[in-house]
Amino acid sequence: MTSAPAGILPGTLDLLILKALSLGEQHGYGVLLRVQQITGGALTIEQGALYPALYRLERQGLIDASWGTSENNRRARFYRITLPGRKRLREATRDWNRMVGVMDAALKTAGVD
Amino acid sequence: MLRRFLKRRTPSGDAIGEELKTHIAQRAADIAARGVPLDDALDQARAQFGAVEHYEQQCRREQRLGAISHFATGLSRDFVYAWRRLRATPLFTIFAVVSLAVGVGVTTAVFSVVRATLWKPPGVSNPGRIAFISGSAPFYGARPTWSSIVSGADFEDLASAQQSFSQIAASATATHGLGDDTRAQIALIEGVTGSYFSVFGVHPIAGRVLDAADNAAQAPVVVVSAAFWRTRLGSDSAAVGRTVRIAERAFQVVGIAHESFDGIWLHPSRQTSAWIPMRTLTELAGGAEQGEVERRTRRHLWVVGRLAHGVSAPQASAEITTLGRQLDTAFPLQLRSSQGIMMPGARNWTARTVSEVHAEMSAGATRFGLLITLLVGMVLIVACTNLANLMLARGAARAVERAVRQALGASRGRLVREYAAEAVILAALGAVGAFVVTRGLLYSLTMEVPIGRGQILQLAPRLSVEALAVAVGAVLLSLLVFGIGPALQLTRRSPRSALAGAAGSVGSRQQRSQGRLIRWQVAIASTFFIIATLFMKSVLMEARHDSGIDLGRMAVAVLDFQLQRWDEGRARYATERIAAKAAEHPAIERVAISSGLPYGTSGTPYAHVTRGNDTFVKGRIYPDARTLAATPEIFPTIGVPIIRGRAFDGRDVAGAQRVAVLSEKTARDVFGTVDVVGREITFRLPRTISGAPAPDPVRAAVIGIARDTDVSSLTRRGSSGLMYLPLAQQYFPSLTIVGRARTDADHAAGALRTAVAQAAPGLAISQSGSGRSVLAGFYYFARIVASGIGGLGLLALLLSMAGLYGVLTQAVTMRTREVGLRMALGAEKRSISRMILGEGFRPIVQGLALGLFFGFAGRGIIRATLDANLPVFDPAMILFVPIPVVIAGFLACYLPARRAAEVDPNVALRAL
Repeated sequence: MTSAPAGILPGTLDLLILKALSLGEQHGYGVLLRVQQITGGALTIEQGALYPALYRLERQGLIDASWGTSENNRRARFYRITLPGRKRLREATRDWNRMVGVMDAALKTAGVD
Repeated sequence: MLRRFLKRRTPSGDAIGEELKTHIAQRAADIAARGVPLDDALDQARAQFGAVEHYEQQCRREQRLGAISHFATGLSRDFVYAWRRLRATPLFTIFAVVSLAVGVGVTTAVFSVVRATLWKPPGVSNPGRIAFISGSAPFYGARPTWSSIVSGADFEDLASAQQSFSQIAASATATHGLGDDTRAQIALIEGVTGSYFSVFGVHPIAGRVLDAADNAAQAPVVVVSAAFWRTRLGSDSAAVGRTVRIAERAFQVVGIAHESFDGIWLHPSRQTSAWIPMRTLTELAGGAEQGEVERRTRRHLWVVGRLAHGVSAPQASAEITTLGRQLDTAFPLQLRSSQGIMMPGARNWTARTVSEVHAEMSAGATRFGLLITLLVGMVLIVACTNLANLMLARGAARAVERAVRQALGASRGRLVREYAAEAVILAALGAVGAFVVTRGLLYSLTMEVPIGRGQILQLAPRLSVEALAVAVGAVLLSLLVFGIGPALQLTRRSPRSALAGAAGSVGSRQQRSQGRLIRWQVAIASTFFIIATLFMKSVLMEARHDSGIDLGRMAVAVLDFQLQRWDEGRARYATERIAAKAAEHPAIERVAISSGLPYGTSGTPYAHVTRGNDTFVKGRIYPDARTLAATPEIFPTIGVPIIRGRAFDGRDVAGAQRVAVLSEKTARDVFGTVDVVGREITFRLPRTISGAPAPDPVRAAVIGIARDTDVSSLTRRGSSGLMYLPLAQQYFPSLTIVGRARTDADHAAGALRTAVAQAAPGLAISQSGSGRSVLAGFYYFARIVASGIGGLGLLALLLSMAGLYGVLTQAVTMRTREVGLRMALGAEKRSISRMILGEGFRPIVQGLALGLFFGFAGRGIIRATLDANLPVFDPAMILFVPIPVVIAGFLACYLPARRAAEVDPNVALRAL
């Protein structure tokens, strides 16, 4: 498996890609831009790391890919989220929220001491 | 396949590279748009991206993993679906698996038996380099022979002078009783010189083989055959070191010869059971020959040698011929004819390789094996075509399903793959079933078969892997061709046409090809029946025929006291004890001792019989009567009634007046009437040893007349009559214990063997079994063959009729609309039934006609192969053949026809 790029928690990149694609079909570079946009530029990853993640998600059937033409007339591979992908995103978002809640509560308790 | 699949699914590595490069280019463009020079922008974009090759590789890996898992999940899904579909049609699945299992199983088992008997290789290493010394045997015709052709002295000269063979050995054969302390059997024993086993290249499976030291020491040691070890020593792992008895003398088992080696005859029908040193055998037979003349004239040895390195068989033969000529000059050969006349002869030696000799000996067996293989091959064809039929029917029935799925976007490859998965599952289940069937058949075929003239064929077939592979391959091929064929063919059509014309009608291509297959199946089944009738006629004739004795309830054990050198007193004592012991057994009703039986046993002499006051004059012809000496119980035991006078009883002892019971035929031959009780006869038995003086004529009183029976062989009556003498007054050295079974003759035969073992330990039985198996000769063989071939025919018929049933049922289902329309237009139920029946019967009738043709061809071939008087054309029996076929055909067609007649026109037409 790919090692997680510095600056982000393991597994979160996949989640972010799914989130980015849930907003609409995108090519690889577009996904990167959108991830940067929705995270407010807080995530710093090597841009190349995006691609193994995309191919992995494709293999898992969470996203789909096809060749098309980009806005500036280049041949590009476009990714779109699939139904299982949306389902996974929903579940992962719920899990994440619960996790955040739990961690938050736990850390707050610790802070009383 | 996986590789191709990967290639197709994977965009080339360049595509990934292109994608990554596009990313970098776009990034660079964005950076440049902020006013950075293009070169710097490209550098920055590259730096932000990271190592391109590294990521490219990772992407490619993901892709490959994806392709594999996609393929695997697709495949397992195919199998799951296939399994579900097979389970949804259990009748089809069960039938397909059973016909596969039976077809492949029977074919493999029968072929394995052929391999183990008829096509058995000589079982020696490198048979092309081992040669027999062959010579002329003037008294057996001009053909040279390799059996018992060299005298002891000639062998010694030959062995020391020859240079063609690296090793040379001799063997002498003899029959002796062989067994343990309790039970013995007359068996073929070989006495061999030291290098015998190394000449043949035969290794022991346990212990060692015999060597020169054993021969020099005249040691009482024995190497037993694997068959003897298995059947008589119970496959005892500690058999080496045990003691067995040969001609009542103790021998130590030093080894067990290899399974594949049958001994000097190189054939399973004449298997050697034990090998002992030659000098030990000579001593057993009463010591070495005396004098130079006898040592040259007694040509009792088989000589075999292994060719020396670089010497060809013709070279060796030339040397042997020269040596033979030299011996002819030095020691002119004197041969004794059966009349005891000495005449000169020549050695005429040549060397013939084992391969050559074996091929010559087994030419007939090879042909017969080919015939059997052909027959079982036909069963396999029926099983395969049957499967093909079923698959075709199934494929046609699912045309609509296929079309719907194709219309919904299922790929053609995927559909084909699903059908292949079904075929593979069926083949796998069938193969498991076939293995079980084969094992079972081979187990039940491991037996001893009497093949006439006292010979017994030890059947111990091994699974022939080639046969199994061929059979499974054929079935798999037929499954693939006929299972996937329709899928390929029908998916090539546009789904629209399949959906539109979902109902079939008369004469579709599919139906025609199914009809063709059924026609051939019926042809094969009826071919079998016609061939079976060839033997069936003999069987029926024997079953209807009254041979005069109650064969069905008889059990016999034949004992040869001359061979075992038991004198009269000892033999009489032993047989009386055996008879008494056997009579106690619950399986046996009564027991008699007899020197033979009216037919089927050998060694029963013919006596000349004439009226009491007559004398025997040379040159005159007297009536012949087959003569039996027996205890009084013989008549009720074999079921022969005394129609006049009385049978023997306690008065007719040794020393009392000689008496005889004649058969009606003998009485008529001698006196011209059967009313002869109280009159006297004179009879003379033939000489037992050639050259000995003829026995004196005996005068005896006729005390009774017995009903006529077959004489000499079953179904032969009228050529001569019988004369029964009391055993107390007349002794013959070959005696048969005859038992009358209460119920089962085979069971009673076992009881007789037990009685022999208990009452006379060490006495060897020459032959034993039910009366039919020992005495009926060819008829017993015919019974086995007829039931075997008839069984195969029945199997083929069952398979083909089940196939016909399946095809018709499916055709009726597909033609529901047509039938409905016909009925709406006024067709009656009966005419609909008749239409379906007629269509079902068309291939049956065609098949019968074909079968008739092939059947006669088959009969012709068998007739040419078997040495028996069987008619090729036999109209009466042929008339019976169509009966089972027509009955089975009617049953197969009736149900579908009735179903067709019950079609409700309203329901059928609604579908239009």
